[in-house]
Amino acid sequence: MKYIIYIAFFSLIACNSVEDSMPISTEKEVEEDVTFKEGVYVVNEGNFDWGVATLSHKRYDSDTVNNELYKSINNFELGNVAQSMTLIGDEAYICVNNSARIDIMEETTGKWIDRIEIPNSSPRYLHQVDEKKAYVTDLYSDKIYVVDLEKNEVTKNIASTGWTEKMCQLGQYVYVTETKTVFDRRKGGQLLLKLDTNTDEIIDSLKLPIGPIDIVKDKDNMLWVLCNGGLEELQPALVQVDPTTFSITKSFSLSANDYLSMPSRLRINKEGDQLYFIQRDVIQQDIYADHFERKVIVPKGKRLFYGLGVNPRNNEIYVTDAIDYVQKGWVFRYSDMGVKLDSFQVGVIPNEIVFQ
Amino acid sequence: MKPVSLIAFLMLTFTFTSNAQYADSTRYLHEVEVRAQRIPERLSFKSTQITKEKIEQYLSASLGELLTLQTPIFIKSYGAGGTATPSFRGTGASHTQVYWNGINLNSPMLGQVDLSLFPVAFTDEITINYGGSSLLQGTGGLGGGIQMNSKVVYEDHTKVMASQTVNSLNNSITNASVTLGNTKLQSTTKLFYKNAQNQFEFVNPLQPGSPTWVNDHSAQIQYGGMQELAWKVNDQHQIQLNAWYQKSDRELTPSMDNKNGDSWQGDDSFKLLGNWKFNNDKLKTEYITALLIDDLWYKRQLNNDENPKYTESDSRSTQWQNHFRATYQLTPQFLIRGGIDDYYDQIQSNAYHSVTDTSNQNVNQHTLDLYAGLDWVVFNQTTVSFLARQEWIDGDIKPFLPSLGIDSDFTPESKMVVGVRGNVSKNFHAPSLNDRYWYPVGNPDLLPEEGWTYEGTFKLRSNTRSAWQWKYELTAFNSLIDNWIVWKPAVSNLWRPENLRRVHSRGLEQIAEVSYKKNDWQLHLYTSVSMVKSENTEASDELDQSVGKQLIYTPVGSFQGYLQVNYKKWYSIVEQQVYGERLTQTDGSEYLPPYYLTNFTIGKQVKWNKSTWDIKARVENIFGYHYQSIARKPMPGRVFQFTITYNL
Repeated sequence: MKYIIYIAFFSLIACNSVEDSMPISTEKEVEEDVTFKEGVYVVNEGNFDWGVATLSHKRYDSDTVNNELYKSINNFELGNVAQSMTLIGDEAYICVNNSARIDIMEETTGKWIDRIEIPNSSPRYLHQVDEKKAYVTDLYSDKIYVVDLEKNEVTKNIASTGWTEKMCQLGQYVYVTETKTVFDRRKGGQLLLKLDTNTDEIIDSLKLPIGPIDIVKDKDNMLWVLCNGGLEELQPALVQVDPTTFSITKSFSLSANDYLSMPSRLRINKEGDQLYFIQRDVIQQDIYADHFERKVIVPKGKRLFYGLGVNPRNNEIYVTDAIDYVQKGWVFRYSDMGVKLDSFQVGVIPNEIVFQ
Repeated sequence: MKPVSLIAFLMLTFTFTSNAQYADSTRYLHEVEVRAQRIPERLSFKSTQITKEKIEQYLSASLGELLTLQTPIFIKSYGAGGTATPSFRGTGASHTQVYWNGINLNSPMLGQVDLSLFPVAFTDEITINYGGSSLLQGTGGLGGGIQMNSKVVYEDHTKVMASQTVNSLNNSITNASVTLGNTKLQSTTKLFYKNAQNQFEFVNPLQPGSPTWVNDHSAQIQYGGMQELAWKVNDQHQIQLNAWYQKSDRELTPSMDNKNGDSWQGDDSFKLLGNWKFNNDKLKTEYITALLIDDLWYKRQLNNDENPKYTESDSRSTQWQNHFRATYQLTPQFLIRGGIDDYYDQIQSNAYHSVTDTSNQNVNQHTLDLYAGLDWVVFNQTTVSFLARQEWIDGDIKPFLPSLGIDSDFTPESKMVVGVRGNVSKNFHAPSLNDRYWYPVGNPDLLPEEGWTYEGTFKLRSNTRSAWQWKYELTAFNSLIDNWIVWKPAVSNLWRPENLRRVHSRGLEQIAEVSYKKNDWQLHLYTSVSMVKSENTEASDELDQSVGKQLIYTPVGSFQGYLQVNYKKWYSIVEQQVYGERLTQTDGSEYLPPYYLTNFTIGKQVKWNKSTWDIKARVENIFGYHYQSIARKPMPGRVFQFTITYNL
């Protein structure tokens, strides 16, 4: 009897380690020696403040999906709201927005390498300028961080006047969308910034319709900016900017009845002549069209489209469904004609698709 | 049967001496003489009481901490000092209604209460009403209701209490109260001050190398005062006035993903309550009028700029509540009751309109609620209770809410009393003002959540003069709630409320109590076991895998219990809580493991002249069990606490 009491007492103390208090996932561990190549990474951002960001990977030639690979390989978690992933050489840079850091892992093994911590920051996207340098945009700080890719640290800040988001490079210039939300009391926003990579200075800015949120360049090296219209004005627009004159050359109004139909995720095909974005459905737009017809290439149906990617190899369209945002989401793959090919389950709130 | 004998009968029917009041044996003897608990307001429905004596053992606790230990309500805690919200019978935080002396304290903005904000020392008795039992006080308690009441005793005696608690989280809690008066007038003043650093070390497996971090962003300053005045005008009239001011400023605990805390919250509240009672042999009436002003601010540092920016939300809710309640003893067997509850809410909030709109907009809401009911003593061992409610919000008629209960003891005279209780009720919960007006996502078209609850109880209790007393209750309940409101993300990190689900909640609750008292020894064992299955039954589409899964942060199984042993002036208490797995994602793809918490208290009362000193040492989570209440929010391990209480 005495022993039973001792065993009960010590089992309560000894059998519960700090790891035993952590949330348990029902996802199977990824197999050892697996390599992540020739496929697609899915960045699942996870719920705000819940810290359930995960990484998924699926090879193009396999049906196997490796979910929660980052945690499985490294024994710690990605963090709180993973916003984006940028592949640079053999490394993947993941901006973990609400954890104020950029985690760096080996692209093909998923092994953690290093971390760039920027206290009280909200890193959104990282853009590689050259072998040694990258820019990182921030949701709330009025600055763009300059990162030394050899030392993996922030070397300087470039002052902006609002939330800086997506970047696109043409020659020595990086173009950055600067926006603000309806809750944002800052003076700036609704701009396209022109950043000289030689001097790390903003040398010009262009006023855009409200909510410039995403940017791509087309085959003619013209810039396309998707503006979500803001929550109050609800006047979303798709604009074409000529970088040589730094002026708007085309502007299409995308009508929105309510904020639920705000457009997001501007993408372009490998030829650089077809634009895609989500406005409830997946919309396709020809870069040479002189007006906007709202061509639905993938109808929404019952889905809740959240993330979008167009495979630069074959123009296949990947679109994610976040379901109720509190469970694992799905990725649907369509042909460039909008024919459904397959689907696979990933993590909570699949956000960004990264093609290898 | 005359009214007096009816009351005597009811007292007998519901007699189970709560032998929990060991902390002060003088009071304990006094209670034994009465040998009755307060008559439940709602016959044939389930409710339990936490007595003044039990409350005095937990003077330094918050209401959330006390309910965790003494009731089957699951409290979701966002870390030490953080928000604590209740989940009652598998329902959500807004489905538990909290009342103070008859007025509703649920925020009209949030629809819920933060139980960490209510110091236990400010209440004299607590009643837990399960499910439909809460309908007597008001609507919305789909899970149930919690009543906190002041208890006035007209006696010519001055009482002074002062208490100081310190613990190893670097927290200090001070309570004091003075009661004075005579057989006509009574005044009680209560003061409370809490300076909580909530500081502890924890290992963080979410970070590379599992470093040890210090939880040093959970500090809280909380203080308040309460003044209660009661005037017994004559045998029939009684007037009470209560004023309660409280202020709380706190840092919000960051998750283990981030070392830096960046959020703060402040809650200031002022409550003024007037109560007039008129009682004669047959008619009992009560009129309550109350003004409640609550200020809530939230602030978050957004960035690392030289002059950092903050996002702030500032809201003030002003409520005027009026309640008129009456019962009339029609015949010895029939009691009829009726009442009016009237609420006028006004919200001023910068979150209810866009920042570019500089006009000062208020949101108002008027709620009128009528109820009527009948209590019928069919024969000595059987009671039937019927109640119906009808509510209007801003003139819109809401669902009609009938409820019916039957209670019967089969063998009231035998040594073991066997009884059953059954009831059925309809309830609804109106969307909160945040649900309807939060800019820009508020959804004015939301439907109220509504559903039926069925409940049956099997009861056993001892009915002897033995030193051993015991009681056992097994309750099964079943409720189906339509239009369950869920906040879900929409676009641009904005969340939006929708009537999404149909929730089916059912379960078993078992309460067993044993007490013993002989010579210098007293013992009390309380155990409560709950098994609740609460699941979503409707899918948004075929991929939605939440159907049939337990609602997130709702344990299926839970256990609370304590064993208290007294020997002369010494006392010791062992408390045990066990909570089963809790899902953190609606598809069940992630869950928190079960946890077991054991607390141990030892204390002694010392008499010195006319005063009593109570010296108490307490260890919370004595085994240092690692656990999380909310995923990735750190919780403290073993906590040592010391309390000294002076009573005159």
